[in-house]
Amino acid sequence: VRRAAFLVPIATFALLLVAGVRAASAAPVDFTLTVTPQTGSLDDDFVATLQIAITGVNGAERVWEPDWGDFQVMDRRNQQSSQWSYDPQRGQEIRSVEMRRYLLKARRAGKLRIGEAKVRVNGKEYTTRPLVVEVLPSGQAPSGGTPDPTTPQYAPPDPSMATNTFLHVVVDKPRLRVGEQATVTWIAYTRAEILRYEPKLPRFDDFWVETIYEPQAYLQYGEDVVGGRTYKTAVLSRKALFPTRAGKVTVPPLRVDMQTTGNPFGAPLKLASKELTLEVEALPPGAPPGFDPGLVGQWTAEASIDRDNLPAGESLELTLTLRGEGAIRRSKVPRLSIPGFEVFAPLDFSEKVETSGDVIRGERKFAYVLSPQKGGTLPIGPLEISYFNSATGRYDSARTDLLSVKVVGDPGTLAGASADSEDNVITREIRPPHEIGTLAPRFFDDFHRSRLFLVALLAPGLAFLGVVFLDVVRERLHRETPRARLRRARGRARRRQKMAEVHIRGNRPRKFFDEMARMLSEHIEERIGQPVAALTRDQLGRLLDERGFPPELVQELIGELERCDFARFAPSAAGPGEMKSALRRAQDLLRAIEKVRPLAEDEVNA
Amino acid sequence: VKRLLILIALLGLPLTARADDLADAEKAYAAQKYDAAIAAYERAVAAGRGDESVLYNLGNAYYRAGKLGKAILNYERALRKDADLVDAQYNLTVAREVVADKLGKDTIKGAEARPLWVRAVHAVPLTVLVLAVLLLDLAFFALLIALRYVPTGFLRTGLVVGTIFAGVVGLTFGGLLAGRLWYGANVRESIVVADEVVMRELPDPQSREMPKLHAGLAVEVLRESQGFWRIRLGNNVEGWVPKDSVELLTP
Repeated sequence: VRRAAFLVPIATFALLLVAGVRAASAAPVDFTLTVTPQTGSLDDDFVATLQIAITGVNGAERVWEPDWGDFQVMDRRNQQSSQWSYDPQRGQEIRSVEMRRYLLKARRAGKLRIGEAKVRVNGKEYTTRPLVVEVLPSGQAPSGGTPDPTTPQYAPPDPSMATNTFLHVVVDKPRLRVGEQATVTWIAYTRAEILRYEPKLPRFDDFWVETIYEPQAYLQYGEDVVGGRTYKTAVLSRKALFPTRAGKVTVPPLRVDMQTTGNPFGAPLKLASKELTLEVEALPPGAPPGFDPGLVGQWTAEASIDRDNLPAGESLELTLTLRGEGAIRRSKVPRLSIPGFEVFAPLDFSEKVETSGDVIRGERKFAYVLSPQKGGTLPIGPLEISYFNSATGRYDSARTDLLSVKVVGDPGTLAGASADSEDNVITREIRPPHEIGTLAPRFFDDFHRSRLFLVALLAPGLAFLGVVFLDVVRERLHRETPRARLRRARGRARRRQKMAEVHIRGNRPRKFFDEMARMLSEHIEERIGQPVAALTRDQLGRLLDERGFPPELVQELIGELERCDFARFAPSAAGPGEMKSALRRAQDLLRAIEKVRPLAEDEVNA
Repeated sequence: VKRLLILIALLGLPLTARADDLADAEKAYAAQKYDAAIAAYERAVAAGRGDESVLYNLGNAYYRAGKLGKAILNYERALRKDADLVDAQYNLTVAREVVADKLGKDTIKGAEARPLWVRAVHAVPLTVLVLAVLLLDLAFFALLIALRYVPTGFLRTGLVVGTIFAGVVGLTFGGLLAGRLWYGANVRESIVVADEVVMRELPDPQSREMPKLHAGLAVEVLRESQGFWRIRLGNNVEGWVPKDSVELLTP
């Protein structure tokens, strides 16, 4: 037994080795000869392509060219490539492809025959079928080419752009809605043979892109006639574009560096296709809630569950399959809400996408975990997945069948049952009450309703107004006006009178009369707005006359001032009685001075 | 002194009463006597002690007593006082889920989201709005006064900028506060507190039945008639429900 066990891995390895050798020495799977164009004129170049595709690492042992008959071989080129592929039965395998291209020129018109080609691989010989090519006389154009089976029906290129080699881009649907598929095909047109090409695919910022076709090891040629000239055509790329925004959306040009037999050794041709503009319409309003903008097209939904009977506390798996035509890879995980279940959305999904046809189609499977929230027979669905039906132009819904599941027991009672069971099930609980420590009422809760709030709100504004008012008052008080001068003069006179009364009580005649003289002089100064202390009595009299003081008042004033001067220099002559009467006279004079409206200086000058 | 002591005693009486109510409520809740706890908490709220924690505890007491509508009402009231009270947010979610499971979930088709201005005025707590308006008002006029006494210089530039800032922000907050107060005064937000209530076409128990509403549903009370409230749902559908089945969020 131990020896047999030792032999198992050796035997397995040997089997794998044999299988590998067999795979490596497999027979050629493809040996073909094609000529393009199959109908041409004496003016045209014809290209014959001999393709030898061999599975394995060995190449052809010998190749016999066909009998070219009435064709003259102008040029020969070989191209070899290898490609890895995966075969479900044989595993990973390598495939060698050799392309032999012959540039031919017909020697005469008519139906010309090209003989069989032959190849030997691993000692075994393979032959192609003979071909017949129709060659028209010089100057006659063929009626039209056979379209390439790999290309859809498309708008022909503009003859004005038909140089020897150019790129043509076609779209099957120039007006479409957001999320709808437009198939764009880039085709190379050439009158020579493409030796090498290097495409530079553009960025498709406004599209979700799926690749439908791109040539692998070699190009597949077709024929087309543009402006009376036969071209070989080869599809360089075909993509399904799903616009992601509305408006005029541009498909940027495809740029290709291409080397052809027309210019085999020079710098490669730099070709670019035209820029396409698609008019993309937004999806109509009224999308149902939860609508996934990725689901535009034709969709169906299917649901299945892994069991229809389960005990409380367990969960089941719901598989939702979305199937249809459209940008399936753009779709999101549908959000499900199923009454009676807690739904756990899937973290992943499986998908199958078919991109080989002209329409992208496929399916996605989402596995949800459902946890029943109550016991009994619970329905699941019918689940509805909203999508936009591009065929009808309306929102539609893919609906699953109604499923049901029987839940034995009540999941809600599991918390109590957990004490007896091994499972520790913890149900959702509310959070506990708060401790209320402080008893202070919340001052600000209703503060905005109280009058205090209004007072607090208005107080700063009122304070500002108060400050402004006080400023205005203060300014007005400091302004120099006749009234202000009078007010100031009265104030001073009042102070002088009080001092004079003090001097009477103290029997100080000199100081009393000094106060009297000052009081009268200052009052006159305030009234006429001009200093008078330095003036002689005559000058003062004249000044007062000029300023409109009545002559009697002027005489009295001058007389009183002279009495004051006299009393100041002979104080013993003045007793308290004299001082009191002098004070009364001075008060009368002050009132008389206040009644006078003195002329201003300019009035005097005028 | 005697008069002063009497005055202090009179002022302190309501606080003592409220303290007793809250202590009673907490004891009753701890003893799982939820009806007694509810009564005590309600007394405290009626005495003006309805801050967010008391309302939250009252909501818990109602939840424990199985009165889910009232529980939701008080959680919502607590959140009106403090929108960041996470415990109230959590318990409100739980209460709503329990209502949906046990009584049924009300889905208002075509319900419109609240207008932007309503959401804006409710984005900031009321106390914050009041404080902000008062402080910005004070700052604005204080800066204006200061500006009168700073005639030139860098300081004056700073004061001008500060004044403009305080004015603009103050006006914004003032607008929010005014909107909030207007909304509170004119829109009577309410909660269905009955487990299930039938909305009717007229204020009459015999009139045609409209949809059934379940506890916790937010509605707007429009007016009263014959012991019924006329209410408006989120999708502007209007109908009548018995008065005791709906309670105002701001009594």
